[in-house]
Amino acid sequence: MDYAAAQLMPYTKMTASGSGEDGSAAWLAGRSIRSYGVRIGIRTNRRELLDQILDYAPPLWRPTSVSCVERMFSFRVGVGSSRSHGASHVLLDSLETTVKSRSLKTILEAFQFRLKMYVAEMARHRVFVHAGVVGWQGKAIIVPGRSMSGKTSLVAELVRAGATYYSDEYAVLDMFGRVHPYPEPLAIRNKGSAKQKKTPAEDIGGITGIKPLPVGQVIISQYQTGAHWRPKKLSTGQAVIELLANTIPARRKPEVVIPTLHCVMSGATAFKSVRGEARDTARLILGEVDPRETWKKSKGIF
Amino acid sequence: MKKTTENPWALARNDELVVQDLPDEVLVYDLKSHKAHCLNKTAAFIWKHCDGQTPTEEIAKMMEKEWHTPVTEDAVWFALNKLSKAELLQERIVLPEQRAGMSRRSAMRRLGLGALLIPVVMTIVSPTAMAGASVFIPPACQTCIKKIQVGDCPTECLNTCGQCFDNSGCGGGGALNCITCSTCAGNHGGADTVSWVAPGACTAVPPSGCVPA
Repeated sequence: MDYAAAQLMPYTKMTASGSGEDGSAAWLAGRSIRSYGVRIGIRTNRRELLDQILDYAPPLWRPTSVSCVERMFSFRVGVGSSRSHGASHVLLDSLETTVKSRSLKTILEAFQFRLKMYVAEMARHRVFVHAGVVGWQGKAIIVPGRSMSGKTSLVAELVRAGATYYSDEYAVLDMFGRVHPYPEPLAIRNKGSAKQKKTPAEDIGGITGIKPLPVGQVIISQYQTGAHWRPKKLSTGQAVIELLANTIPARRKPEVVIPTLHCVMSGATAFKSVRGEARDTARLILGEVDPRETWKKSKGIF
Repeated sequence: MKKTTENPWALARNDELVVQDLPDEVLVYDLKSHKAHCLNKTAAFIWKHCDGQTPTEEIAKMMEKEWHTPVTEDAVWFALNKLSKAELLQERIVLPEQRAGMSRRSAMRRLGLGALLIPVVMTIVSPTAMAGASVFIPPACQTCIKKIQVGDCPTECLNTCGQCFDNSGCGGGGALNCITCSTCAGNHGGADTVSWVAPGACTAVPPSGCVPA
């Protein structure tokens, strides 16, 4: 290990099973990064792999000079190779179980998933809500919802209709109730398929927002074949409950989460309805279309 | 176990709660049960007056003054029942017999209150961090993966939790609940009698990093 690498090598005070602190690994490269205030350490026995690993880190991460990290991921690549099975790779995690695989992609995806969840729960001064976000006329539109609720397709249509892309996964809220970008590419599913394709907002004619925005609308919707968007306005309390149901650190820090969600709703209006096709709903949300027109069109009335 | 009471001097619970006043509503987060309750204005009014000293009759009179509409004691008991079920009172309320079994619809009729003044307590169970993960159970993880060894897990099953069996049939025998495919393969694989499957297998609390099936 050279001197420069040793200086940058992250470490964690925590020792847990699977932390990889067995002394057998020769970590040749490492980096401490900060993502939404969370300090993460990455080490590997292959120097050339470091940049590839960092491609799987959450968006907007920054390198940090602080070597003491909260969670360490150590990649031991190409170990225990045999003629029959090829080399295997190991992800040692200071907080969770070790992942072993012959596929490097599998290891990297495990790292990505774990890190993303950890940052979403532990972020400093931010509250992560599972939601899609776009910017429209200086305010954010938040679409909270679980997986498969049609969140991403609605966000994609809002972007196609001219809204600014902020996120299709998390609404990152600050204590003033503003939403910050989480600019990962949209994970668009093909119709009838569970597989997701990463699609940058620019590929669907959109742009990605940079500045934090106050929230203007919260849209609670669920796709239903043949349904029409007939929004019912929610009270502030009902809207906070809907947001809370999708908030990652709801249990960890409710004393921070609830005032933050209240702050979000102090300047926003929330609507709830089932919806049909995302394209029609997106135009209605952006106020381009009179809902009566869409209803007439669906009934063949001109 | 909480005591139960029929007495008309209910006392609001105030320990281990996060309370947020909203315009016309109150949001209460229960740190013990991880439930969040939204109390509408009448439910909130009644809850805030549950000081253990003000009888239901008196609360009804105060409501009349506040909303300039006749309010019966039944309306207060209706709210106390809701608050009690939400565990927001020190003692569980047992409704007097003649006031029991009132639905919201019958309450509107019997209490003579408008829909907006019927006490409402809306409750959700707060999600765990993992519940917010954008995941689903991929089809590849829903079928039995037999004779599993390190590296055999499909990528899409990596963080899905399921059951790890000590036989090749995904059923019977000794089974470990709620572990990921890779953990099953890494810790227990190697012999050709280990299998893994995800859906419906998780009955225990899944460990962190494991997405419940």
